[in-house]
Amino acid sequence: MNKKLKIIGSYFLLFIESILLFIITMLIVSKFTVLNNNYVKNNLEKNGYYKDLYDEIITEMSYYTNQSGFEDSILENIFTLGELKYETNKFIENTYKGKSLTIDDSKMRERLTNNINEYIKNSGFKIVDQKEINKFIDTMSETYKDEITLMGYASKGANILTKITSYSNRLIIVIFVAIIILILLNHIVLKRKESGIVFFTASFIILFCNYYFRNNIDLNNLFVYSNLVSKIAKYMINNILSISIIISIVYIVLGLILCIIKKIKKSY
Amino acid sequence: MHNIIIEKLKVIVKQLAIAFFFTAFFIFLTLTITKTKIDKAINFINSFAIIQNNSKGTTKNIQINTVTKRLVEYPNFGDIWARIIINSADIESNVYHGDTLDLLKYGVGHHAGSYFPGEGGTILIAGHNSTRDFGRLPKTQIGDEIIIKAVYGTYKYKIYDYEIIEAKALNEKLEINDNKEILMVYTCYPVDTPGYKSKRYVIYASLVGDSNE
Amino acid sequence: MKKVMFLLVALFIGLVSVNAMTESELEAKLTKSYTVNGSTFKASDSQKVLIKRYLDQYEVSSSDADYISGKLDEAKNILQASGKGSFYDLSRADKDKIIALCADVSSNTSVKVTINKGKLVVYVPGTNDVFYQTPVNPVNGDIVQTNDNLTVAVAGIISVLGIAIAVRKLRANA
Repeated sequence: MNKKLKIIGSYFLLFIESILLFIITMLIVSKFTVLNNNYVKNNLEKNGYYKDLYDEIITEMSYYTNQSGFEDSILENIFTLGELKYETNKFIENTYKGKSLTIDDSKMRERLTNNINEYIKNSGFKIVDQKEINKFIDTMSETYKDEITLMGYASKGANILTKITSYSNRLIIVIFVAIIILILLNHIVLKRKESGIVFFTASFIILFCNYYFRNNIDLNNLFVYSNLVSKIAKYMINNILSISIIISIVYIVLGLILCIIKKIKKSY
Repeated sequence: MHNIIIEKLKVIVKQLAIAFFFTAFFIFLTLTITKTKIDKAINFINSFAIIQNNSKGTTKNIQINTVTKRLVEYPNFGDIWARIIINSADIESNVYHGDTLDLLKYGVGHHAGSYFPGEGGTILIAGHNSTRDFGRLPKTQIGDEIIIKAVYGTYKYKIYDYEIIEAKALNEKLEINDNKEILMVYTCYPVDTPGYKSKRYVIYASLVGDSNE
Repeated sequence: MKKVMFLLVALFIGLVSVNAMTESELEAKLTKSYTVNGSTFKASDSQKVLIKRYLDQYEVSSSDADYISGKLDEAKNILQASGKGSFYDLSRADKDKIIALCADVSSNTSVKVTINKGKLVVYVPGTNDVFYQTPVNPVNGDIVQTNDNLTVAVAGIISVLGIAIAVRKLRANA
């Protein structure tokens, strides 16, 4: 009876360990991916986000140039790709820190003003209302800032991000300690050593989650805020799903190794 | 050696089977307890899973029902459905269904919340004050003709009034009614100064004739 | 027995005829205004045209009608609870709640909407074709489509769509 209770108790503890291993794996994956601003920046770089954003800003601005009697040529070289990348990265870093940020548009405004003055000089406009010009420049500035900051939508997630990061860090520590305790209980108190089950279970759960997610979410058609952001979101989600599959394979291998090690000891 | 391998395999199979059972049990528990929440979350995510189809060409075979005075089918948002011609000001442009800025870059826009020619209501068309579109709109006079060659028929209007209004007053001034077919065409004003315009030049025209193709 | 049945049927038809809505009554319901916190809200002329066009072209089920009607009540309750007389004066949190009603309607009914870079987009049901997209500026005279305008557009569309569909459902049942 005692032996049966030990076996049931051991399997119960193994079940809890498996779930905890699954959860801590997901938390660690999140910590190094979506909750990590360097991961996000690397993916932006890999997917040519900055160049696409540059083109997008110029396109959005061009809708206003036509409306205001200008030609698109006034938008030439008003900001560089390097400046845009710097501002975007600064914005991302601050978002992850939960801080707000003012985008520096001073150089852009100065160059745009120069371009406009040059255009007016060459085009022979008889009447120029400086208020209208200023309003146009303000509009361009708003467009520039809105495109980088995703119209403020990204900042809304900033507070949630920092909270999730801090909770997940604490949770990782707590779960890690819990797993150690459970392992010790199983090995020392209950004298049961079937740790392979833990890795196998965690791996199967990860694979199932992968399968369920891919089959229920229309990932290919996912649309978040804009086409540009959607492209990055899709790439990152696919990347994270791939990482989770690799981890599940590693867990299966670890599980197999633990099974083999266990048996080798017993046969001596 | 052979026995050791078999023993190892038995252990592996046993542990895999238990793991499989644990997984099934966990999935069963999770889906039972949180199925509605998961379904809600999935529906919510899938509600964003839509790709925009930004077609800019005419697509449908659009006809007007002359009895009900309504189009049988409407053009898609972003489709070209007519050409607007004002000979007195040398204006001729494609008319898009919708008046967002990205459409106005390519032609003039029909306000989606207004009626179509032949429906007996207010038609609102906007365009930039560039030379390609409505830059010469202020050159029109009362009595000038405006022709709208829609895919379902040609409609003629005669200008009876014009005014310059503040952009912010557009919503109040340009009322959409369904009791009389009035065409309102507007552009940013003044047309010959650069910069963001706070006024609009609006012309009003009434229906004088139509022919359904 | 037959006579009783006939009378019951006649009575039922009579009741149905009395409760059936006429075109002008339907029109009146569609143009109805709401008074919340001392301010009056109603659909703009353009919104009325869009709503009528949408409903004339596309079928909306009773359950969808109920759902959207419920969201309309939620939008009104949010406004009521805020004590404000204008959507523009709502707190950021309340504005976000109203915008969230949009996504809610989209994920739970055949009426598909999405928010593309701050602009509200309504789709033709069952397709990726756009039925309507809020313009950035020409008619409103505003420079940029801000979240404030979007909130008003969303609230306007939801409110009127909610009324229209709830009424249409009533008519279908009459």
